[in-house]
Order: sequence, then structure tokens, then C-alpha cells
Amino acid sequence: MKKHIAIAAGLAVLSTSAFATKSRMEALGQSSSRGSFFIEDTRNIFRNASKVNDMTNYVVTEWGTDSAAQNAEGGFFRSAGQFNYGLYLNSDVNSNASTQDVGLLDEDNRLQLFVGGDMGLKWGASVYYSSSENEQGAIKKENDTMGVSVGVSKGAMEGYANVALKDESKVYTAQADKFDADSGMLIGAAYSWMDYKFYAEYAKDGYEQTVAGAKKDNEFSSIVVGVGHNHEVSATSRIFTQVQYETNKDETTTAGTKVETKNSNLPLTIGFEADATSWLALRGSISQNIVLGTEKVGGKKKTNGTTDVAAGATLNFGKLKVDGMIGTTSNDRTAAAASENGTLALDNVMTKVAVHYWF
Amino acid sequence: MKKILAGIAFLAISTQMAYATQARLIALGLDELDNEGSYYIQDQRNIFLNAASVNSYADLVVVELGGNGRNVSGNSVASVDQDNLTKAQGGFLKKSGNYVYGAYLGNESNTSALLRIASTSNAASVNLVAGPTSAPQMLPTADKQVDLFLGSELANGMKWGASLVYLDNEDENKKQEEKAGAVRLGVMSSNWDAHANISIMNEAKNQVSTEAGALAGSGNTAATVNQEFEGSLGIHVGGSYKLAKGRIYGFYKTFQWDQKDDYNYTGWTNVTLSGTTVAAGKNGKSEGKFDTYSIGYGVSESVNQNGSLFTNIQFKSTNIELKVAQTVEIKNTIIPITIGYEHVATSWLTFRGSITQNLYGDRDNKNFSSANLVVQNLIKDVYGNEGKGTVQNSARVNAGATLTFGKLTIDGVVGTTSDSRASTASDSQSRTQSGVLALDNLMTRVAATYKF
Repeated sequence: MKKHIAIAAGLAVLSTSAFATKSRMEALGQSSSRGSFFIEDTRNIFRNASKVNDMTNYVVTEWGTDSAAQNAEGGFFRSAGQFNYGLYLNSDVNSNASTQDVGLLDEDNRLQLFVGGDMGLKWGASVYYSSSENEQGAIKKENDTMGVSVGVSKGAMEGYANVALKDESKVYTAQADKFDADSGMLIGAAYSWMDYKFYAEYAKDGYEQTVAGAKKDNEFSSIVVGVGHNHEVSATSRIFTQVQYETNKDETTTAGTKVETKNSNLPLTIGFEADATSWLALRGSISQNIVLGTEKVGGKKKTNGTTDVAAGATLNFGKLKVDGMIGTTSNDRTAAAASENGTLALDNVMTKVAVHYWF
Repeated sequence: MKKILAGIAFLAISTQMAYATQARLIALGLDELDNEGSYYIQDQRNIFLNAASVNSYADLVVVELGGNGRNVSGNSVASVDQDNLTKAQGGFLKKSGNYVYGAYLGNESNTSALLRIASTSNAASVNLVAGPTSAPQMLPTADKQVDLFLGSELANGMKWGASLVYLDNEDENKKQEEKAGAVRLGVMSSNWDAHANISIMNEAKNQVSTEAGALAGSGNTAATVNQEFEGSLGIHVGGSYKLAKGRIYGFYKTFQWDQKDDYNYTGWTNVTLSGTTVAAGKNGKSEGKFDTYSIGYGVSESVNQNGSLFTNIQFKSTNIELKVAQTVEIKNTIIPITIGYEHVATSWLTFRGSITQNLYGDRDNKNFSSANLVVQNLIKDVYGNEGKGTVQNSARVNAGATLTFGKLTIDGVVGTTSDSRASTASDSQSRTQSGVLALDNLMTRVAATYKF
């Protein structure tokens, strides 16, 4: 009986620590933007909208400042009968803000709605929208974005498509200045077999930008094919391994001069996650290219150096969990920015903090 | 028996959760100039919104840690309370028979401070151009305010409350006087509540000197400036009604005032300081008006036996008009949505947080340069820059915690410390929020509540 109770308690801890945030994904070597291809996490709704059915009835807030490096964002997700829905505020997934660092108005105040259902076939859809303008200066600036996502999951199979319909900025210093993103797409599929998940994803996007008469065209495409393995060591710990082939091509034409950048990588990621105590889960990962890892700019090749170690933790208070990264504070407190030099700091106990509350 | 004990223990915790402070409401998304309380979240702070709330929070002492707030003047007479530079305040509420009474010290209104700062002479506000000068010579903001409360519950269950606000200060060396008075009246039934908070007096005046050369670029030399603020009307009325799972609410605030400036602006040319242009002020009397109204719907619902979810959507319009050389106008229309949570994590820790973002936000601000230097910087922090456009970067994530030690609770805001300790405290309205959970600055805007 005692064993059963212990296992049940362990499962309770395990199942709760599985639900998390951007910092958990980064600590496990995954994408903080769209989540993981093979690790269950709330962030996965930004890749496959049908995942809105897998985890529901929670509020999540990612600490930070709007439009700063650590973006303030969050939302809530809830079930209603056979449906699950959610509202997410200020997401910056696939935002072109960094591309537009030329004075054009960035995307702001994105509102994203999710809806999904489980009728044997799990389905989900989301739509996002934002509209901003600024007449503060001599010329009115505008930015509008819109996108839709659909996804399905049935048994071992799943598929998804995310389409960016609009991302348009008008006017910087002259009426002719503009940024206009092409319709971008991200499509993919995955298949689960035992503890493995095989996946493939294709992305394509681009933009045209004109600033002070200088035109810039960009086209980007990428393919990812990989497999991830989730090994449950015990009821409260697990090891993740992942290997994926990534190739992408970026063609940027500035004032008639085209620069082509090609990357080919084969990163291996090994991660772990364990409940150290009833109130603390620790996780970490190491990632490095193996065999393949090159960047070719204008036909000239160089090897990519890519070893990255990340770590994180979750403070577990039952239904409320505080996630964060650890090891990102410099041992020099006068340093202006966070940096990684092997320090476990107790004053900045966690960074990239997010809180999620399950109800 | 165990279940009963567990139930009692939970009730003890959840009852204590209800008593809290500005830090709690800010963490749950409150964004009002005076943090005067919420129409849909139960909190001790609501006594400043509806005085009838005193009946729900008897027998406690509250102290909010802080100093003099953010000083915005060279003559050390004008300050505002903001999250990273708080003002010290506190008080008590006590039950006596059928009545609850109390006193609260230091809860000076930020709205009143903003209006008095706006009434300062443009010439006095730029008294820092050429050194060695001593910075803006402002009108005094309210100080040493006392709020007295009295309330009771009628036999039919209707609660009523009243509050009297008073302050009177002078400094003969500066020919300075400032005084204010207000009354708050409120009623609460189980399904509805209403309040009328009325300013009956609000005055400030002083005489300041601008130093020779201070107004470089304007062609003016040393001068004596008499400046004055006189509130002519101040009303905050509102109420809420229980509807389905939540409360629908609305309020209207209006403040009108006259201001006087005897500086002679003849020959004044624009003065530019750190990129902020100050145009000539208006000699003589000017009028100002501050209007805000809002309607909204907020829900507080219990979840998980020891937690709460909060959702709120409101329409809010703010219009400010100051008829000086050119009419300074602020028009902000926003529809923010707020999602918040609060959870009794352990017997000694309650954690809370929220995210707020505008579903719609529009601003149309004009002629800031005709306002004085100090208020220009303040209103940019609160209402955005001059010009038309959407309200940018409206998303805010806040978090907070309560440390519970039996009848004593310590509240604070969490997550407001930068990852680098090299950064100095900023005077700007915004706090440094870079996603860090810091243990050295464990909580900010800290307050303690003791229930006896």
C-alpha cells in the first residue's frame, strides 16, 4: 500500500511539473517560442493549435516588460463542455520586430485566441491580430498583423499549419517607407512510436522593406527533420534525447546585391528533468552539433560552434508553479547584462521567470 | 474532526488573504493613479474607494513602507507616490459596538499632486537651465494628510461608511500654504454598492525665486514668481452591481481647478531641456479640468479551495484640459483586459499575479510644450507622448506575495528587480521588470497588516 501511495504521490508531482513555460523549454534545449517537437509543454500550442486540448484550465504569466528582451506576456486557457479555449496576450511568436529595427513601427499588443475540441480527433485553431498606429511625428506610422493556425492530433499522428497572413508596417521617415512580410507558413507533422517521436517541419517566409529608397528583399526557408526520445527514469525524473537535421536558406537582396546564407546543422540535445524535492524540480540540457554544422555565406563555408548548456528550475506550490532559468547571472554583479559563467546565484535565484496557476 | 480542523485552518488562511494593501491590488492588475481600491476584488484598500468598506475590515493596523515618494522639485515640496519610490502611510480600523472607526495617515492623493504640479509656473519649473541653480521651484503637493473613518451596519444588512479627509500646512519662509479637505460617503448592500467622494477644498500657493541666468534663452533674469492652485470642484462617484458571477461597475471622476502665475513672459523664447521644450506660460489665471469615466465587468471566483481567479474588462476614458498659452489636452481611451490569480501556496505564503493588455487603446495628446517641464515628464509616463496613435506597449505582467505569520501579514510586489545590481533606482514611472526572481530584494512596495 505504501508503495502505491508513494507512486501516486510521485505521479502527482510529475504530472504537475510537466506543465510549464518558456524558461522550461529553454532549459531543456527546446524552442521557447513554439515549444518542443516531442516534450509535452503548454508552449506547444504555438506550434500545433490542437495541443490546446491537452492542457487546459490554467493562467500563465511570463514576467518582463512589454517589448523588452524579456517580453511581458501571458494568458489563460479553459475548458467549456467539449471545447477548450484560450486567450493569450502580447505573444511575440514569429514577430518581425527585430527585422524592423530601422524605425518602422513594430508589432504591438498582439491578441491571440485559441479554440479546440476532442471528438476522437483532437483539433485546434487560433487566430491572432494586432493593429498599431503612431501619429506623434510628422508622418503617421502604422503596423498591422494577422495570422491563423490549425492543427490536428489523432493517436500517434499529428499535423499542423501556421500561416502569417499579414505583417505590414508603413512609413518611417517618408511616405514610401514600408515593411511588408510575405505570407509565411510553418507546416509540419509528427508520428509517435513507443517513446520516440519522429517529426518534420517546413517553414517559408520573407519580406520586402523600403527605407529611404533602399530596397531590401528577403526570402527564408527551412526544413527540420528529427526524432526525440523521452525516457522515464522514474515517476519523478526523465531524460530527453533529440537529434535533428536542420537546413535553412536565407536570401537577402539589399540595393540589388544578393547575399545567400545557408546553414546545415545536426544538433544532438540531451536533457534531464527531475523533482529534487516535493517543492523543487530541476532541469538542464546540453546541445551541440555533431558531424554536420556549417554556415555558408556567399559560397564561403565555416563550421558552426554551438555547444550550449542551459538549466532551470520550478518552485512547486501545488497548483501554482514558478518556473525560471538558473545559471544566467554573472558572478560579477556590476555586469550590465545577464551572462553565463557557471554561477549559481541566490540573489537572482531565477531569471526568465514565469508563473502558471492551474485551477 | 480532521476535516473540520482542515476546513478551519483553510478559512483562517483565506480570511487573512482578504486583508491586504496597495501591493496586492497592483499585483492583481489595478492601475489607478491613487490605487484607491477595486470594485470587484475584496481588499482593505477599498475603504478609500467606498467608505462603507470599513465595516468589512475592522480591528487591524496597516503600515505601508516608504519615504517621501518621488521628489520632483528643487524646493523639496512636491512629490508623488510611485511603485519604486513609495510614500510612507498607514492607519488602523477598530470595531466598537455597532460601529467601526479608524484613522489613516499619509494617504495623499496622486491625482491631487499631479494637478498641483501642473499648476506650477512654467518659469519656476525650468529653474535649472544654467548652473549653479537649484532645480524646479514647485507648488507644494499635499502632505501630512489625515483620513478619519466611521461606519456601521444597519439592521437590514445595509452597510454605510463616511470618511473625512483633512490637511493644512504652511511655511512662512516661502509664503507657502496648502490645505485640502474631502468627504467620502458610501453604502453597500449584498448586491450593490455606491459611493460619492467629494473634494470640498484644495488649495496651494507659494512664492519662489528664479535665479539669474536660469532662464537662459528667454532673455529673462532673476525674478520672483507667485504661483497658486485652487480646486473648484472634485467629485468621484461610482458603484457596482452583482451580475451573474461578477460585478458590473462604473465610476466618474471630475476635478476642476484654477491656477495663477504672475511671471511676466514677455520676450520668452522656448527653453529646451534634455529634449523637452517648455513654451511660455500664461500670466494670470488659467483653468484646468480632469475627467475620467469607466464602465467595466469584473469577476472574482474561487478555485482549488484555496485560490482565486480574477478577470476584468473595462472601458475607460480620460480627458485632461489645461487652458494655458495653448490648451494642453490629453485624451486617452482604453479597453484593458486583466487576468489575475491568487493562490495560498503554503500556510505562510500566498502568491498572486496578473497580466493586463489593452484590447483597444487610443491616445490624442496635444500641446505638451505649453505645460511646465515637470508635469510634461509625469504625464508622458502615465498617458503617453504627445500626438495621436495607439497606446503602445500596453501589456503589463505583475506579481506579488504575502508572507503570513498568523495575524501578521507582509505584502509586497515581486519581480521588480533587474538582473544587474549596477543599475541605479530610476525615477521613471516604470519599474525594472526583466523577469528575475530576486531573493535579495525579495519584495518591493512592502506593507504589513496586523489583525488584532
